[in-house]
Amino acid sequence: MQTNAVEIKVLTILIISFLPAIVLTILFTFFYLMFKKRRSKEKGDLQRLFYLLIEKVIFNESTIFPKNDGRINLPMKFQKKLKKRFARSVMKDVILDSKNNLTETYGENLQALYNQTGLKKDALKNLRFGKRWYIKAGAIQDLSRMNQTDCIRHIYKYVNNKNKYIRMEAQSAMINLWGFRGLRFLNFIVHPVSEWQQIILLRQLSYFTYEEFQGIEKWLQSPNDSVVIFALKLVRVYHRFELYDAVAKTLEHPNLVVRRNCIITLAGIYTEDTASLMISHFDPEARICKLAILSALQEAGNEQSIPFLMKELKSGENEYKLKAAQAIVAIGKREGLELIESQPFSDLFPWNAIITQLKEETA
Amino acid sequence: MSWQTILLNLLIYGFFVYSVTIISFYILIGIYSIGETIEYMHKNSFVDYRLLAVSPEAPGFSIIAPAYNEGMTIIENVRSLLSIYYNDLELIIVNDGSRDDTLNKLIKAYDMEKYPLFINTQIPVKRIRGVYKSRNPVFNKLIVVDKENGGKADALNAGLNIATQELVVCIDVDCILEQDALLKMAKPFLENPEVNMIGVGGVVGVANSCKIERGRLVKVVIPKSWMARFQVLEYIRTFLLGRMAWSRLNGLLLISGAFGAFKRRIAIACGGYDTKTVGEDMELVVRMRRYMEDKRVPYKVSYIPDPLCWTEVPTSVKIFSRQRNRWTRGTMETLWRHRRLFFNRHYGLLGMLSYPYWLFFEYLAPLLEAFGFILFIFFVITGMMNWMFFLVVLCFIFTFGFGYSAFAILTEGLTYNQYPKGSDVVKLLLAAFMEPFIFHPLIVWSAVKGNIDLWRRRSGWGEMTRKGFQSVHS
Repeated sequence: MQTNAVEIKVLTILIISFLPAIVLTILFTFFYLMFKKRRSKEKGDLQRLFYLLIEKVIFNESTIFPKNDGRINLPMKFQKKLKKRFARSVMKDVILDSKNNLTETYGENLQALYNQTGLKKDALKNLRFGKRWYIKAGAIQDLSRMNQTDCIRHIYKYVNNKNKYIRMEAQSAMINLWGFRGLRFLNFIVHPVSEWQQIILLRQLSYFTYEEFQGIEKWLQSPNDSVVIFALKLVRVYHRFELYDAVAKTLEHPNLVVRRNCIITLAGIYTEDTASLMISHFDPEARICKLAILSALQEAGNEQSIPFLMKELKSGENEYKLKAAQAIVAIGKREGLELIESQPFSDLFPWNAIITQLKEETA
Repeated sequence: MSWQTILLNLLIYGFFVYSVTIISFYILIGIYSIGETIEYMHKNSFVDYRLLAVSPEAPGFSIIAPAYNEGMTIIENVRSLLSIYYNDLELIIVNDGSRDDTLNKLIKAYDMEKYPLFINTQIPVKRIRGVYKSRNPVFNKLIVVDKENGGKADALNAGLNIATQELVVCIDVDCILEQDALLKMAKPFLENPEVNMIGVGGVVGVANSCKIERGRLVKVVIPKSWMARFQVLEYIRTFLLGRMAWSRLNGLLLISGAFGAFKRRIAIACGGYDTKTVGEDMELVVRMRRYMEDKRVPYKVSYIPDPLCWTEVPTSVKIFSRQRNRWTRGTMETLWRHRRLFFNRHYGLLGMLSYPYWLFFEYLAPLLEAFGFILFIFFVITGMMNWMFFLVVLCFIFTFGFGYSAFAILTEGLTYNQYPKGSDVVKLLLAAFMEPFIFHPLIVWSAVKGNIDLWRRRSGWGEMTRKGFQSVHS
């Protein structure tokens, strides 16, 4: 029989060394939960207090604005509390939350409060000296949400930052602070603008009254494919019909996603030549673009497109057949449906099933 | 040295090396996972998901939920799914030949009528008897597919054939999704222009004993049943300390069948769900990954640590054992089907790390554990091994296991903190203490039985009776 004395010793030492680590983990868990609970209560108390202050600030109460010169006379108890970092962080959240829910007039008082409590200084310090990406990105977001237009030059430096999250916040801030003019970063950015970021930027632009903006033609030729895609979306959303030719050129783009977006955009600003242009590009295209073309023809198609659509209806794969049939009906309405029904193959599957669905759709 | 001693030493040191490797993997993966979770939470703090909800540029989602004999809860379940916050959404309920009144209840409750939809059968499925849409425009997102029974994978394939949106979410119909679940699932598909995101998984939480109102989870409560508590602990360990690390490495092999999102075209291009395995969820992810690797297209399978989906876990030993038996068979079938990946450099990380890890430490671990335990007892009884050594080994395994669970509980508290009460933590710690004596042997036994069943060619899911959420009955 083996005694395994050495192994027993090693394992016992390991067990004994594990035990304090486990006890510490458990104790830390409880301490952390207690701390979190206390912090949550403290936060609630501070929030109540700060919302009361903000109410006074918003309604220009004389105790807060004694000289009526826009300068805030912050009561001593607030000044004391705001020396702590945690309280300042709660104050910042309260101001930002109030700012979101108020009109611009009241917002000015909140901006004054933001500046005078040193929160703006904090944000600028974090932006310059913050070591972690989320500190910098957070600072940009705060300055942007507080409409600190005088900080644009500080923020602009980061629109092409190598950290994705910092540059995303900086790009959003540029739009938020500068409206359509803020899009100028598209002239030179080398990093991709993700689809997610494009959604954010488009949403932010929608808050501004539309003004003619320059640069789309240049962006449509950008070496950064994501900029081209975003430019195509801008053309589509803002109906920039005058850019039709520049958009049409992107049908030759080597990137499939660009071409697909081009097709969708062309369908939104189509002319009488659009359908034939798309059809001429159909055969060599990738499947996803072929489907986009067939969908686009529902909008941009015309009577000249019918022979092509009939060809796809007859011999294309099932998904093409359905899309082609839908386009024929969209172009020719009832006659379109009758044309499909009159084909010799209309009683066969899958055409008979497609026709039944189309009848239901048009009913 | 006699041959018995040599054999004994080989076995003992073999198990020792295996144990040290698996423990090191657990520790490394755990640490790596926490880093990724914290990074995710930082990223999330900047995101306003409401933007996506209203954007016309957001991708569309098709939710596919197979239903088999769900008549008791189907109305509530569909109501819950219909209330999800997303603009461009279609909800496809696939009635997989239910023998109860599932279909009739749906038709009546949602005012459905037969709709002559052209189905482009890209993946072969059992005969579809009809497609239903609601006359009521309020339910225009809802499509009900009635088909012959073909199993969950077949039902999901029918859904894939009918879905029209770019992204599909495959879920269990009785799951409760958080209101913003789809918004959060959509983001990973949109934020990486350099890589093709093919699938995203999310955390599945344990809903037993939780407070549910009108199909929405309103309060997370620690389950009353010990079986469910053990599973809470297990889910915390798996999701928080495991999957995030694999996601960061881009080595995920499994997206839970209860809740996962995929690119529809890629799922279809590689043939959809495999109807011949009971582990269709894992098999699809492995096949999709293999498809992308073969095509040499950069891709990613990602995972988000937010608890977005809640499900009822089995509380009866019998049903739990069946479930784990099935999971084992599913894992083995998938690993066998894709054995070409094993240490195959052509498949990069998938072949060199993910696959071997699953084989050695997910699939083989319970089998080796059972074998080792029986062998060590035999050695102790026959006097070939010192009983003290045996006890110390057991103590070591127990201490490590308990420590790892305690660490998982701490991580949960530091991140999502769904069980904030001190009493909840005590209950979870007690579960961690009891787990090696009650729950773990059950898992090992089910895995062994799963293997035996697989070798005897016994397939099938086994009945999964659910108790239903509290509010459903109340």
